[in-house]
Amino acid sequence: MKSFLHNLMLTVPGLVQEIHVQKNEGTIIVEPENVKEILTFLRDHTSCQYKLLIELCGADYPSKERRFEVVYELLSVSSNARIRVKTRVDEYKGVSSVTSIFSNAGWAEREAWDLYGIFFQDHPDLRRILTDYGFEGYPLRKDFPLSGFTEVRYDESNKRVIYEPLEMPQEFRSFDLQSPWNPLVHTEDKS
Amino acid sequence: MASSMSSASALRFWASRFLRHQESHLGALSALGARGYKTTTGIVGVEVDPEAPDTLRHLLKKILREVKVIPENAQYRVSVETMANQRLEVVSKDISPEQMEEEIGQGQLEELILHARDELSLIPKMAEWKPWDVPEGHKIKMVVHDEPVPLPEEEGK
Repeated sequence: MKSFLHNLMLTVPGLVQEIHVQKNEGTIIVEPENVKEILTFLRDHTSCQYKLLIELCGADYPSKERRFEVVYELLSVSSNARIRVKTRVDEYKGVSSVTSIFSNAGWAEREAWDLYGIFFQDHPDLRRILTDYGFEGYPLRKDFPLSGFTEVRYDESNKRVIYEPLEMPQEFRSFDLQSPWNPLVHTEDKS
Repeated sequence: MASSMSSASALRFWASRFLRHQESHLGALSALGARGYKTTTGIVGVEVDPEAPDTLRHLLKKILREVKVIPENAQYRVSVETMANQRLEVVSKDISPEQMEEEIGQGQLEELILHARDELSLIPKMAEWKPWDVPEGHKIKMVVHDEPVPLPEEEGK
């Protein structure tokens, strides 16, 4: 993998920003403008032949300037090799859709859009896929609370399910699970 | 009835009767002459090419012609030409297709034809993108994690 990535660095230096190798797993970090080029190269070049897109997902690092990371995981069946391609984007600037290169990226990009708000340019059908119709917000962002903002209940008078703002009668208890003993008994005074 | 057929069509007639095959094999049966008894590549969507060595030769020569638009000092052109010349040398020999496949060692000739077609589609795109043109001060960071995984501590220690 190391020698392959070294060759890649020599062949397409203008497209690659960083290369990471860890225990025979290679990762390439590219700019969002170069994603389509690098994926086409990895798919079509004879010594690469990464014909399968296995995974396309997002990740949120709110402390960084470009908070979202889009990760593409590719597999070459003929050479039994996997490679990861990552880009960093922020909330306002999107990344090109790779549906024209790998058609299974369609739903994966819809998921990244629905859950993170990462926009994919030239996507044939970018709409929500997992959240409820009319759901507002991007649930997998780090600043979106675990319990959400609304709760659901059945309203007897209207005979339908309604959405109401969240009410938490008990405050959220966070267990740090550092101690093997029951934290409710053996707690430090945290007040 | 069989006596009035030529030997090749008789072979096809009896082969179609006794060989279990899918619909696609009827075209591949004509490959019996050029490719031995190969009726299928074993890969879905990849048909047997009866003239595979010729097709591959033609495609590799086309690659070598088309890659000339890339600058000579570009690593991409060097690697494509090396690959194409090496495969062309093997495919141009007077050996059987199976021996060619074994010498190249990258799969069947039909797969190599697909590789060549992909490379041909990639060459004009690379000529447009010019990834070998690196702006001043462009640095690629390479991070290698090679530390050995620490062994778990034995119990009692």
